[in-house]
Amino acid sequence: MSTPIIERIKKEIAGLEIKAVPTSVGTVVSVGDGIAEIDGLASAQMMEMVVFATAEGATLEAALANETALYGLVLNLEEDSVKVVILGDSGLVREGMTVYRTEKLLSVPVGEGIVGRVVDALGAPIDGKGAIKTDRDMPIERVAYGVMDRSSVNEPIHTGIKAIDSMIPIGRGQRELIIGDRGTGKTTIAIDTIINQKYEPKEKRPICIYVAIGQKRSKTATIMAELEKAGAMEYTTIVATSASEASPMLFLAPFTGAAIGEYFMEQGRDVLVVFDDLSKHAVAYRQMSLLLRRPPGREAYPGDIFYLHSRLLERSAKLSKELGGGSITALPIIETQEGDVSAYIPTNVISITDGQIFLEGDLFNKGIRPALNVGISVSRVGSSAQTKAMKAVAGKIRLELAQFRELEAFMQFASDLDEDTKQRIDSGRKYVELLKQTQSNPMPFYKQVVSIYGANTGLLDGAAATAVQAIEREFHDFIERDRKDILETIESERALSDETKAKLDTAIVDFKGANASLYTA
Amino acid sequence: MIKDYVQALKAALASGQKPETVFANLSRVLARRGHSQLLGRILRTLERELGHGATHLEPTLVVARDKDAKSPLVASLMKELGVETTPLVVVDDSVIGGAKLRVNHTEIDATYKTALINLYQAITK
Repeated sequence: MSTPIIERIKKEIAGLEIKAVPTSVGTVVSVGDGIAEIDGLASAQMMEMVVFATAEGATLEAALANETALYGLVLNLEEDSVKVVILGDSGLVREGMTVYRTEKLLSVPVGEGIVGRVVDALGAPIDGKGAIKTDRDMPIERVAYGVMDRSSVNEPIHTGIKAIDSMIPIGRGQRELIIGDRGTGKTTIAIDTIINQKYEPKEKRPICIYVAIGQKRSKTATIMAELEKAGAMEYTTIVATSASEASPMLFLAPFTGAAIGEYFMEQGRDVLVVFDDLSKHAVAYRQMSLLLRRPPGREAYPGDIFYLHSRLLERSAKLSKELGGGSITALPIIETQEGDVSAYIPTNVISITDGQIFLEGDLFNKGIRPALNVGISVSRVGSSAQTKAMKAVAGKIRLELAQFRELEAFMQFASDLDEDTKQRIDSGRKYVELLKQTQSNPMPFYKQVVSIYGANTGLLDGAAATAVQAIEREFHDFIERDRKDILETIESERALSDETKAKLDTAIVDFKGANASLYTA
Repeated sequence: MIKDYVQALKAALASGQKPETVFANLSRVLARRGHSQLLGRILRTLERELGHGATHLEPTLVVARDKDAKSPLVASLMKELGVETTPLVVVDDSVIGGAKLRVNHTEIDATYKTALINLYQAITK
């Protein structure tokens, strides 16, 4: 140890004054499955942290060597005992061990330094990049902002996915559920949305928080690498809990994500939080509740499973101007079994959120990615947040696709179709092709507007459906190369003026003239 | 269920049966019913109900050496916690010095070990 440190310790010891105050203590009477029953602590509060005296009876050296304190979280207040979940290695807890109250509700350290880092459910760094410089502690559980503290959702958050931004727009402060079977691209949509925020101007760019609940460590590592590669980690925090961690950690992870989000929201910043996924969260809470001997209800979930998710998602909000105007947009994810959206947890979360993006396995297998079912996907508040430019072009798509879906079923039986029907089917196929997008390839909204406007006004006329993606790609290159002012105008004005429309019409004619080879259907 | 067992135990003890017989019988009944795991909880509840439980714990004093039990520090701790009876003294040299007094789920820790740990944590934080 260096001399200044030794000198400092000597000085501190010389002036050491033992200020002992009476503390409420309890004794562990039983421990098992990560749950400890404690006699005493009669005045403990729900969600209070308690600390286990793991250094009891140990020498000073041993106590100092074991630097990390073992905490527990009070979750059951019973007639003559309390039950706590052990937030760490439960093997260190033994019967008769003393437990101290901390008189602090469970909180996580937060600050600017947490952006770009990977933390666990208690906010401790797990990315090997050293300690995080934090400003304050935020309580994990907090009552959501009230009605008067909020304003309506009126600003869009762009996902970079044409099908979503045009038909199911999401606003800042909204809660939009992403729901679908396993392997249908739920996480991909969330990650693309995070990546797409890099196209936002820096002052409007939301802080992104990705909460991995009980995910495989390999999946979290892949996501982190993907975000780093796309340059998205500089505005993203990952709260990671793996499947091998104790259920209390999985239970706490989304609340930690919400607490970190609230820190930034209170500074007037916009935040995007992805909860991946709340099905695993519900399962972890069920496990924990059963171990705490709380009465089981439907599918053995505890009675307050709805309240668990509603109080979590209610914390996403768009604050009023007086409170800084910050927002938390939540993208909870739910995994369904065999596309069954009427199961217990999916229906709960559907009813809590402001809309849902429903992904279908069949569409995914047909190669339609994102595998969005337009029919049952909705956004209840997002349309008021959509940019004028997008609103102006997107109205036609939903109708075209709805008509196409209807005719698609019909054409399987009918061999002889009239010209109008054939045209509608052809148009629908082209829209389907246009809305296809590959993974990690989000598109800024002004390019989306250009694509959709083009499709509405004849850019794809005369082309085969198979050529749609090539035409779109070439058209974007053409616009960026020769007519960049159009993109800049849409980006800055966020609207489609008559002048811009005229310029786009001319660009389409010029493009079609110069690329006739793409139109040989 | 635990309360039922405790009630039955109390009744058996009050009827004048020998405690050894009562507890041996309890143990056999629990084993026969597959409730052996409840034994600890039943005895703890009984202890609490008979007034010897956690809320009536005997004051316990932890010191590093015997002679520390008579120090002015101990006297001040006892005064602070309102302890008037002689506490049970436990000698634990790992506390290094000072004293720790516990009574009725309240503890006051004035040991050197805790002070040094707190100091270490404050410096290294």
